Amino acid sequence: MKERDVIEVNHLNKTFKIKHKAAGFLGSVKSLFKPNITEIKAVDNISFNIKQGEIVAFIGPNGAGKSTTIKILTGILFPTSGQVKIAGFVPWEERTKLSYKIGSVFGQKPQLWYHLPAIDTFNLFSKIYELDEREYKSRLNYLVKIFEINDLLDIPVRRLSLGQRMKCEIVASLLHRPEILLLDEPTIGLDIIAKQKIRELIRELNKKEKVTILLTSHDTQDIENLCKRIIIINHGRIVYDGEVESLNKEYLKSKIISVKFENPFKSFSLSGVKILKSEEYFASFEIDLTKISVKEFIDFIIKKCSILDINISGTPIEEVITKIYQQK
Amino acid sequence: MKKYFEIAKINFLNSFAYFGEFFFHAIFILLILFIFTNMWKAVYSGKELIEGFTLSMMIWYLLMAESIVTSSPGFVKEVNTEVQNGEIAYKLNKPYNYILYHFAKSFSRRIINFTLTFILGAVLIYFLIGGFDFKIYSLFFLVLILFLAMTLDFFISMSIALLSFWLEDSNSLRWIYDKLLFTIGGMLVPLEIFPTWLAKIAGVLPFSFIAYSPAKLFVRFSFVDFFNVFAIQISYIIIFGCITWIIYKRGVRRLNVNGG
Amino acid sequence: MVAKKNSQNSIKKTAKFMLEYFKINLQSIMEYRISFITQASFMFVNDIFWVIFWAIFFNKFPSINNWVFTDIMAMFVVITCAWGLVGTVFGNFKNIAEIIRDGQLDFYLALPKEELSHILISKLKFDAFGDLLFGIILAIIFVPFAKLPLLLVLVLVSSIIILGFAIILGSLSFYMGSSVEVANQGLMGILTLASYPFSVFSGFTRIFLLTLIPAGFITGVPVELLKLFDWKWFLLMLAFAGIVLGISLIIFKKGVKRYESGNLINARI
Repeated sequence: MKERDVIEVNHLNKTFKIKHKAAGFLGSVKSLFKPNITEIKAVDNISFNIKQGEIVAFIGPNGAGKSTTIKILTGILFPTSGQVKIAGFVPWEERTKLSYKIGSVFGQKPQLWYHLPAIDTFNLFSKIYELDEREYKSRLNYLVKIFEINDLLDIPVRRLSLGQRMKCEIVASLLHRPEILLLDEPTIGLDIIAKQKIRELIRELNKKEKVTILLTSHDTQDIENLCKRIIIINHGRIVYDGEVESLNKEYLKSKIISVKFENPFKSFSLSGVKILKSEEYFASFEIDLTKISVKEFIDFIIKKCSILDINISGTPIEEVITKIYQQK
Repeated sequence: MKKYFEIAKINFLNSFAYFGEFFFHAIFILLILFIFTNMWKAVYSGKELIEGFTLSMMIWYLLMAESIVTSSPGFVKEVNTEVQNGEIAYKLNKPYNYILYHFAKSFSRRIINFTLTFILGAVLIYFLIGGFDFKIYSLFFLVLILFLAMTLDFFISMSIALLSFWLEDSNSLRWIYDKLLFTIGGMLVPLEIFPTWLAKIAGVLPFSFIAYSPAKLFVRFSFVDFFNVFAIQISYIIIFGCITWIIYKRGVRRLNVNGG
Repeated sequence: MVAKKNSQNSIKKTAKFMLEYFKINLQSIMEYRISFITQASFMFVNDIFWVIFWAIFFNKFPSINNWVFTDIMAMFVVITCAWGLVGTVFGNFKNIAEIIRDGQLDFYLALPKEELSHILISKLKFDAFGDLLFGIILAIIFVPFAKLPLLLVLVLVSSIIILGFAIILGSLSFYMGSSVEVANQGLMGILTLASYPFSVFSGFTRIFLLTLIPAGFITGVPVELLKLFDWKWFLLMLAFAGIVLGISLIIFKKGVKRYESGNLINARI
């Protein structure tokens, strides 16, 4: 059975009219009578479709139009032009109906009531989403089991560790069985083990329930671990929409090679080779694969110096993304 | 030369921003003046004098009393914080300087608050009911009494603030003090309005020498009253100055004993 | 038949929703017991101070434009009960401007419940309990038993006016970038004006207080109605409350539309 498109975005445009006003009381008065308006094109002709069950990374530098797009998808903002359909609804027209189908977790903006045990927020959500009592109870038990938060339920949220809190946040967002889950910085501030655990849980969830996940995260490990597909937005436009793997290949035009020497390192210059770091017996280089191949570089360096150890690594995905951000 | 001009300009602009902010807060004071003007008009309806005050004297009294009390810059919080997080330890070397430091700091703010409040209120009142027979010669003496009143208020407030050496938060005490100023301090109405027994009590307590006495001298000056008030203010200042000093010393000692 | 059941259902659901929030709010009281007791007590004591002040004042001047001590006590009952009621049920009524300014509105918009009521009931003001308790006690002392039902109605209508006024001021944030200061001053202003004998105001001021800053309808008219009931003024008060609430809802809804278009004043040079 062909998986349906659960998010459809077609030629989306959003232009803001911003009034500039000088600071202070006088500035406010002046702007009432002679406003200084500029137009900002936050989203510029964006189109993409996401199928049910996909986990897609949606990233871009600050001010790239990312949060504007998300706001439009959740129906909080309406666009200047373009069509959007989420789970069959036009977001800004049927926001209430859509809200039953979407769950969201914002790493920086918690939804759980800080001073109360998580269970109280869960109960509140069950009333907000008008969940049937019995269904809610069984759903809650199920999620509590998977996320292993049974012992945490009655503890005030402010006494939980960040990782524990995050698990509860995600559970809260899933109580109403949303088709789509928006995760914004879900692992921010967590230690390595907690991060891995959360990612595991998200993957499992996606496998079992086919929840479509849109992940916005500055943590590239999150992306590499969870997402097959990545959409990169910059200056309001999509600059990359494809597989995470291909990202490396397409933009991987350099490698980093670090070498340990037997004799003190003497600097040199070679076309396509940039010396990143150098110490007495150690140096690391970035080689531009369009100008020189790995073999050529190794042949060169072996002839030049006596080598004790050599290490070759690809450009981390972070750099790839940064490069993309810096384009244009 | 240009550098000083820049400094002056920044301060000037700052004061504009401050003025804008201040204006909002001044609305409360102006509102009270407006309401009480209406209230007293209704009370006076026809009468010339009540307890020796004419209608306009009553309103100008209120303005003065209000300006004094509301001009108090909040340093209780600051002192609380300094005590709580031990910052005060750094300022220990010159003990009496800590208190004087706060005195100087708050006084400059207070004078600005008072002046702005008074001028703003005066404009409103003059527009509403006109002026009164102010004795120009009393100006000097009045300023002196005002200074003493604010000083007394400072020492009482400071004692309360320094109690944070022992209490976690002396804000509630501060709040009670404010309420006392409002009522038996004579901020809202002069003590002549109180039943005699209450007026007598209020007349001996220090609170009335912060609001009532200066305000009354302002609208009804007499040298006899002046000397009385002067003497008692000085006495209370000495008393509360000592109390502040003692609390401070004890508190600092406690800090040292407990390791700060 | 189905439509009736649906609307019954939705009333039940709304009630459940509000009840759940009230439960959570009560729990937060338990969690922050000390702060609750402190704030509620302070408000209570604050109110006592005012009663003492008025007792002193009316002891000297028994009648001010026909208002006597029991009238001012009635005024106090109305304002503390109404203000306290709004604070306990719709505890966020003073924070609307801030919520809009800080973008917290997004949180409420993304949820299935109607956002204005959701905003309002998601908080409970601790000191409002002090006011409410004080008002009730004062009512028992000063308001004749026979007049209590009328008092209840007047307090409810007064609360509606306060709520509507607060919503209007808060919603200005949609149009002004931030109306936090204006809202704070406006609410402080109307509370102050409603805490003094209305009988002293006349002419232009009186009209002003019965329209733009309706302190007159919040305490002035209720006290007069308690002294001497008058159908004309009672109906006028009801109508006024309805109008204010209606206008407030319109302004808020329009403001949300504006918010959703994203064109707010938000840049500073």
